[in-house]
Amino acid sequence: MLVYLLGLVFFVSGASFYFNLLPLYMSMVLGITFSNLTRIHEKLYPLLLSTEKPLYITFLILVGALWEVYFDYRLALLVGLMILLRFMAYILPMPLFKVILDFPLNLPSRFGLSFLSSGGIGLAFAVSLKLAFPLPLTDLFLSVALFGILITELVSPWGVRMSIFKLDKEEKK
Amino acid sequence: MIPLLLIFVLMLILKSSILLPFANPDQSTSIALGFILVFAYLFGSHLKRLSLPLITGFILAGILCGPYVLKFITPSDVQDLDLLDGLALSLIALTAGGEMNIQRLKGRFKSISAIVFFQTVIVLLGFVLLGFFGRSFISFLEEGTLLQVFAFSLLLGTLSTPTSPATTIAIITETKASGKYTDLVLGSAVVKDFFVIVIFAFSLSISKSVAMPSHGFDLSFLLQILEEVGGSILIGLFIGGGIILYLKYIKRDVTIFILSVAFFSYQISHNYGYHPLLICLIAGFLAENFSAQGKRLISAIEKSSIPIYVVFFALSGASLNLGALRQTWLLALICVVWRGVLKFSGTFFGARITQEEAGVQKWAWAGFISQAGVALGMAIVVEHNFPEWGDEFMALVLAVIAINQIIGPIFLQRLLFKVKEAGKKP
Repeated sequence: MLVYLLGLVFFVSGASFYFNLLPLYMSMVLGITFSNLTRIHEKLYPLLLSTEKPLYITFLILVGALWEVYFDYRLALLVGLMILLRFMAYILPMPLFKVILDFPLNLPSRFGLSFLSSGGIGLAFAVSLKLAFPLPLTDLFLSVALFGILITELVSPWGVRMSIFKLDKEEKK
Repeated sequence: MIPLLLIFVLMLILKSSILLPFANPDQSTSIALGFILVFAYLFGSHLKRLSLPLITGFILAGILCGPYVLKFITPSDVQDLDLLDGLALSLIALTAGGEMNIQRLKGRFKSISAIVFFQTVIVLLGFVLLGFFGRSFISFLEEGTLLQVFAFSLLLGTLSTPTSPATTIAIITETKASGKYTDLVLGSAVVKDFFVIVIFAFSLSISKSVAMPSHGFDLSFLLQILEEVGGSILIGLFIGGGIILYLKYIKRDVTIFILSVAFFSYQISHNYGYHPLLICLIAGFLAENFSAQGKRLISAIEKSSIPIYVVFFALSGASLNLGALRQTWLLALICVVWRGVLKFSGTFFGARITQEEAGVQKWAWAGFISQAGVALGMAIVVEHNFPEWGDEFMALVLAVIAINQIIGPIFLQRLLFKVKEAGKKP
């Protein structure tokens, strides 16, 4: 089963590289198909979970190897902009919904800070793009994405803690 | 059968000329890996129903999809997947080392030593004889001097001596075999591999001095080999020590740790010319015998052994040189049969002298037929040192390895079933 699964993942991602497509989407389609159209999906998920950690670490090593680290003011600007947009995208909707649309949400206004971490999927997007289109622009994209993800990953525990405290306080009130 | 046909047809379509204008042929490694994993596994499972070993199925699938038949896997794909191949070899060697339990092998040490000794001596002498009598079949030896024939035969004999520990351990794991025959075959294969590397250094130096007298007896190669072997043992001890400490104090994420160890061993051997097989054998041996957690290491590797074996053996099948087999099949077949006869004689005498039971004397030889990595590595060194023997020598050696690697696993599997040791491992 493990061989079968690993083989299919490599085959599908290989096919996408072969035809200059994004492997992430094709693998996602494979996952959706497997989960919904086969009878083995109950076995599949625990198996995927058991292989996730070693594969994830290998993936992170690959990301590190792919990343040509450099730093200049343009990169700093882009990273700053990315983080700012991410903060805004997660913090602003809550007051927007509550105040302007009068949406009945019983959550603290900075609850969106809990969602700052982008996890593996953000990295996967960046690497997928870099592998599918090895251009100077995608090198820059990878650097911006990785710096941005690193910083948000460092900040996200603080964000989660803050929103939990706030929630706790409001519940006590 | 349907999934097998499905993946095959899919690959056929993907590699067809209709889709070629939309494809990027430089990016075919991952698709080749995925295809070989699924196809070889399914193919092996089907062959298993015919009572053939899984790894024979993997090897045959590799041959079928490789550069000489369907061309689904190109030589550059095989080269690109070298890292995975090396990783798999390191993991197999770790398992082999872990299977060498001193307590269990203590009572068999005499028999293993005798079998290794007699097999080595008889195979070497036998191939020297074959060289003298069969020189008229080999074009570059027809007009050679007796000393040149001796040099050639000695090297061919040395190359024919080893048994593939990787194949042996794969079959033992697959059949879950345990017992006297299993210990004798695995123990002898591992010990012989170690000695053959040293014997090869001597043979090469002797052959060079007799075939090319101007060179004299060259000790530098021998020293280089000794340095490589010594270095590999030291690195293996160091890695083994690391494994013991990790298993004792950290214990977590053993799979990731083992993968890192295999990768580290491969890189060290790849970059500095050490022997990955020897490094991991020593490390596995140390972890098994000098740590209470050795069993955990082996069971962690064995749990994920099937993907390792699929990659390793399918790729070894894909790299088998069928062109060479086509060129020299008759001579290769003679060498294979002769090697089998000599292996039988060596095992028979070794077992008889140490008063092993009649079954061991008669049947244990069947466990020593497989031949792969070490022989191939030595053949490349010989080709480099004796360019005048050219392609013909390499073609012969590759053809012999190809046949032995296909039939060897079948012989060993049959042996383990015959002596009722298959399925005995808890």
